[in-house]
Amino acid sequence: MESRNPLLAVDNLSLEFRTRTGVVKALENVSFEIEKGQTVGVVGESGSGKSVMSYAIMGISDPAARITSGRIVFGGISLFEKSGQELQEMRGREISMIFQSPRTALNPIRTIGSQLEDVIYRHSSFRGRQIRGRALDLLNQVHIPDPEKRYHAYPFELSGGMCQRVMIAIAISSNPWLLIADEPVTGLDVTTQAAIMDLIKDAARERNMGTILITHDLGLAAEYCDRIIVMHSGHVVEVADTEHLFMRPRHPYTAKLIGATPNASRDLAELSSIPGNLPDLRAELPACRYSERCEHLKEDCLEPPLPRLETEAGHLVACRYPL
Amino acid sequence: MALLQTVDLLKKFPIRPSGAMGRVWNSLRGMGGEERGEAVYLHAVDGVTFTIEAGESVGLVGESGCGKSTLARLIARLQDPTSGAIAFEGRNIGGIPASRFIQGEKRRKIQMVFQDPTESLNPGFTTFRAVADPLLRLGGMRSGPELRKRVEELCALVGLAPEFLTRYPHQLSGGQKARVGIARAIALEPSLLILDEPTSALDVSVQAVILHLLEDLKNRLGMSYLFVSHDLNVVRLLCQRVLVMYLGKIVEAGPTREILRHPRHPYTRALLSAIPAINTTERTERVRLTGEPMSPIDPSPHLCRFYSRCPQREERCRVEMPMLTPYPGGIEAACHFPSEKRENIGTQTTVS
Repeated sequence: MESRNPLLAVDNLSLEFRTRTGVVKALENVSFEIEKGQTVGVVGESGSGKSVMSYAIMGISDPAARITSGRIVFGGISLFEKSGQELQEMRGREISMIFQSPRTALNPIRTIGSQLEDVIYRHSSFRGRQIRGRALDLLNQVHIPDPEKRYHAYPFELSGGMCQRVMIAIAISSNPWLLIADEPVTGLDVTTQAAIMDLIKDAARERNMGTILITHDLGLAAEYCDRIIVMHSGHVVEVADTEHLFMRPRHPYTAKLIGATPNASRDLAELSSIPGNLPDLRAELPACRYSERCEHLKEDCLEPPLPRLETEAGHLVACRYPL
Repeated sequence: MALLQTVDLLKKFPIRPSGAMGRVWNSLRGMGGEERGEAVYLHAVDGVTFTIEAGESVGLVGESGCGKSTLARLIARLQDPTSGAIAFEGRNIGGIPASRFIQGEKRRKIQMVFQDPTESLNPGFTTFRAVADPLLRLGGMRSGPELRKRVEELCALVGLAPEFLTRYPHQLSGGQKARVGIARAIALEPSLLILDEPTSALDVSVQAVILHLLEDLKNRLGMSYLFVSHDLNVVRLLCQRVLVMYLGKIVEAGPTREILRHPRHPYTRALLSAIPAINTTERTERVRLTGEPMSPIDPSPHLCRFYSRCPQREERCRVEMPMLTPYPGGIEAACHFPSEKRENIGTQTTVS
């Protein structure tokens, strides 16, 4: 963490959506860093801002979104200073993304081969016959059986797991520095999940690629990530190395989240739930957005600023009274 | 007497008609066999035999496409089996067509909670109407204060405040919608409740609440559950027994604890080892599955269904379909070469 040159640095990022019913403060002062070759997990309930944050990094936020403060620095250069053209060049070449439902992310009326070729044509110097060779090579790399035949298949002819493999092939085709995987295995079977995650991990290791794994499954994050970011309603509430986080969670929300995840030895009686819901992000919010659900609430928790304590080296927690 | 017993339950879906239509179909699709025009079937549920005792919770796990939802729908009598029997409270209900079953007296005894709470609620029904509907149709109740009282009672039972009664599904959160789905399913006090992935669309925090609710309801109302899920860690929490299904067949069945501790079938082992665990001591050696699942379309009756992906397949598995064989601990497994190795999971104490 001491390195002065992280691959990606998100610094104090705030983002809001202007809607008819009010301004939704979707992200507030989000900061974290990713090193080269590191896999970072982003966990939290739905609505905590995980996807909004990754769209902001990709520069594909909704038109209603407005970044009100902060910067995103990728490879030493602020993304907000780049032109639309430059961002276009960067997306897919330096930062790639895998989406949640591979079947909807792929074009249903074109073969997977032609979709893969598009990306190779756009982002590499391969031309003519080479493109097809490269595409087949990539399909091989993601362990698609019989790539020559699958090359001409349409997405509906492939299983969900196979479609996700194609998405991975597309995402890694230009050997990006950073891969953002937004719930890449949600909705797939556990056996397929494991195979897909192994594939992402191997691809990242071979290329020394940084990976952001967005997931709501703590087990998955624990197994595949070096570092974990816990988000709650637009705040980063805790950042730590995976082992530290699970061995000693310091934020009450993280502890609750771990306690609510079924595992192989916990009984139903030991499975705790998190009281309350995510707050309405359009309303006036207290400094700590978890305060309404927190069992350890003290009076000064509601007053700004939201603290950001470093309890140990590299273990950050946004709580005045960490556990 | 078991509450529910199925014997050799079979469900085939025709994917190509027989006779003249089949010939036309074949020539259009260039599938060959134009002369024969034989029908082709997808075997969704293939000879499934199991029982559910009164007050027992049984889990049904397997990957998508293995036929677990079809099996749930056969038992809920939403679909008609091709052959085989379903005995419920001592009477064969498998032969009653689904269209007639809906009017019969057993309908109220078997109810179902569907997978996606958003998709399975009528967007035009308020909570009150959704819960009152089964009471009006099958419960012999009329509109009036009595109905209102019963609906309020049910909503209180599943933890829905009275103010939600006038809300439409789009005004409810995922957890609240799941509660409405459960309230209407238990409205008629069924003796068997079928739950098809009731928590897979929910966040862990909400999932925990719903699981507690289901356990509480089971104890209070004495229902039996058939809990369909792909998450063994969730099944473990609610079910005493578990059935593992692979491509239309039950490959392993037995007490949940025993199966977690000592799975015999290679598929069960792969399934268990693929579950990501927070606690490093709970991780087991990964059994990697290679290859693709076999096609469920007219599979060979002699070839083990798991053959194409099995890490320990041998010649015998190709010529002789393994049958469910009993093992110590009440486990039954369908494999010629069952595992001898015990798993270390489920025996650890929690570290939190």
